[in-house]
Amino acid sequence: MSAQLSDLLAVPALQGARLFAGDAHVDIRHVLGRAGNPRRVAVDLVYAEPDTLLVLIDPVDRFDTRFDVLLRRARQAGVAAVAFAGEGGILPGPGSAALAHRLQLALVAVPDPWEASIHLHEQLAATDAPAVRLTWRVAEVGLAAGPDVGETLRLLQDALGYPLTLLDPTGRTVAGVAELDDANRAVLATSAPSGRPVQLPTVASTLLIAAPVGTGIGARAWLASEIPRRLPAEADAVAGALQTASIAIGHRLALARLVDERDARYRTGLLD
Amino acid sequence: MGASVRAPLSELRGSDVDALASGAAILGCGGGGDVGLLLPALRMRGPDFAIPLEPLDGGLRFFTAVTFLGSTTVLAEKPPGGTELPSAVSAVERWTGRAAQAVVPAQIGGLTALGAALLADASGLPLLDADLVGRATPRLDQLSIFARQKPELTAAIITSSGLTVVVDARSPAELESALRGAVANTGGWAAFALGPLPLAQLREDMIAGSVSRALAIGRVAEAAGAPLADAVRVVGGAVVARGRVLDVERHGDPLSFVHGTASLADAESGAVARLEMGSEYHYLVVDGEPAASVPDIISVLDARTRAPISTDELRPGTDVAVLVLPAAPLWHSDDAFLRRADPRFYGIDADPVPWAAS
Repeated sequence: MSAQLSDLLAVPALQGARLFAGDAHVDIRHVLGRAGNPRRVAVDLVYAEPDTLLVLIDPVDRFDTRFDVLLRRARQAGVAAVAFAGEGGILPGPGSAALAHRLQLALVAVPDPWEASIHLHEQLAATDAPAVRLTWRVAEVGLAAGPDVGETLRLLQDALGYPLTLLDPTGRTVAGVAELDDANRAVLATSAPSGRPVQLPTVASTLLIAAPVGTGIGARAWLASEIPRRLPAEADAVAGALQTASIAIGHRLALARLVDERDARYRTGLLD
Repeated sequence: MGASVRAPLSELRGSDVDALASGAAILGCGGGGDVGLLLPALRMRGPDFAIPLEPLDGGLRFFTAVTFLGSTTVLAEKPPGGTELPSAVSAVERWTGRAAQAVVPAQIGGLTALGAALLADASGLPLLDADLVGRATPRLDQLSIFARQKPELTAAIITSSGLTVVVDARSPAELESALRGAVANTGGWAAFALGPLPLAQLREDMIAGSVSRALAIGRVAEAAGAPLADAVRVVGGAVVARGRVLDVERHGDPLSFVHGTASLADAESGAVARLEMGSEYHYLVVDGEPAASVPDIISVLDARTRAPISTDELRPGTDVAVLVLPAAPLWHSDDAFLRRADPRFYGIDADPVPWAAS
């Protein structure tokens, strides 16, 4: 599969990565991690699959002629973007950025090249690993959170890495930032009660993923989040995590309702 | 290389000194010291003075090679008084008991060319139309006569503080380290003389016609009207890159050979070039492709004035032209020569890029 570099950089696992030079809208299909200094990498880089993102695992000590030659060889080999360690080390100068533009290469600074290469590979290979990790993290948070719905939402949002929105059964926003358009609201309002998340493209070119929240009584609510549209692995991961998160939210909603009903009965009793 | 480069000259005249300075500055490859320090002294001799210029294959027996060692920055702040080179030559003559019959600039690049001419004029000795590098170089043990032979290594320095040091060294590396240490601790620069050396033994390992070549290059660079790219073709060179300097990064280790990198972009073509530099410009890459390297001559000129820009004067925002000229053929003729002057000698992990003018 392929994904736009800008979509990949929006994944929470790649938080801290930033585009240093070039076009963020290039398509990336493969990730290639290479250790060694730029000269060694350039010598070995005879051929790469088209639309490859080359990750330089070792920090670059100088952005000099060796790096320029590497950029040239990388472009000739089919590389579309080069990621380098951009934290705690030196950064490329205007000359390197100008050459990257000239060669139509994107330069990406990442905090940890090794970790970045793994996350990128997982996204592009559409593996289950990101989904498992994310669901696990959300489950831990969901179990540990207190009874307050708002507090639980905030903690789950931090764990998920994307803004969370709680919607009522008709798709109207109860808490959070996302506002659905009429079409998507209609889809949510009429969707079959399967218990599975639904995925809706938005006009902002993102993908809205909404998981039903069961409270045990009454109509379902929805727990929703928006992610870059063209990342199936990330969409699967977020959908799975939302299902887990929706259980935690449903539980807090049920608790809140229980408290409210108990309080209402108590107040009603006072009227006798 | 154009015919004008090899045209034999019999003397260096007063009218030649500006061209000599200009050519020597270009052959300095961004180093070699500011020719402007000694040019006024040569100009003061007037237009009528003449220094005999001897070809390498003449009948002379002994010659002394001279140059300046140390920091060119300190040299600019504390210029030579004019007696240092003659005193250095006298010191080696006293020690060896041999008299020099000619002087030769150890390197034609930079102010040494003018210093040798001044020395020849002051001492009445002819100037050999030759040198031992064909450009500028940072180390004494890179001189061409040390590549294949082991000449007697008697050298003297006269430091800027007036100290005379005479050294009989066992190897060029020992000579380099001994004198470099002495210079660093006695004022920052020194006049240097090596010899007198037997010309017949070393002739094959010297670079013939260097003074003539510097003059030819200087005249081309100074020629008004003709575009620089066309002009330098006459001397076998080309403008390989041009544009505005984007960045100049100088690394923290000034003792390493390569301690800086600079990039420039050509607004017209979009090409991006990068230079590796230390005391001189060592390596040039254009659009990520190696374009030139030591031992060939890489010189950066101000695009408007055509004045050579030294490595420590290069600044972002300057419009420059990067000129490449072929090294003396000797450097590429034998691995013994090349390994003293190729990029790896300077710590650049890259193969040399032999210059072939199109």
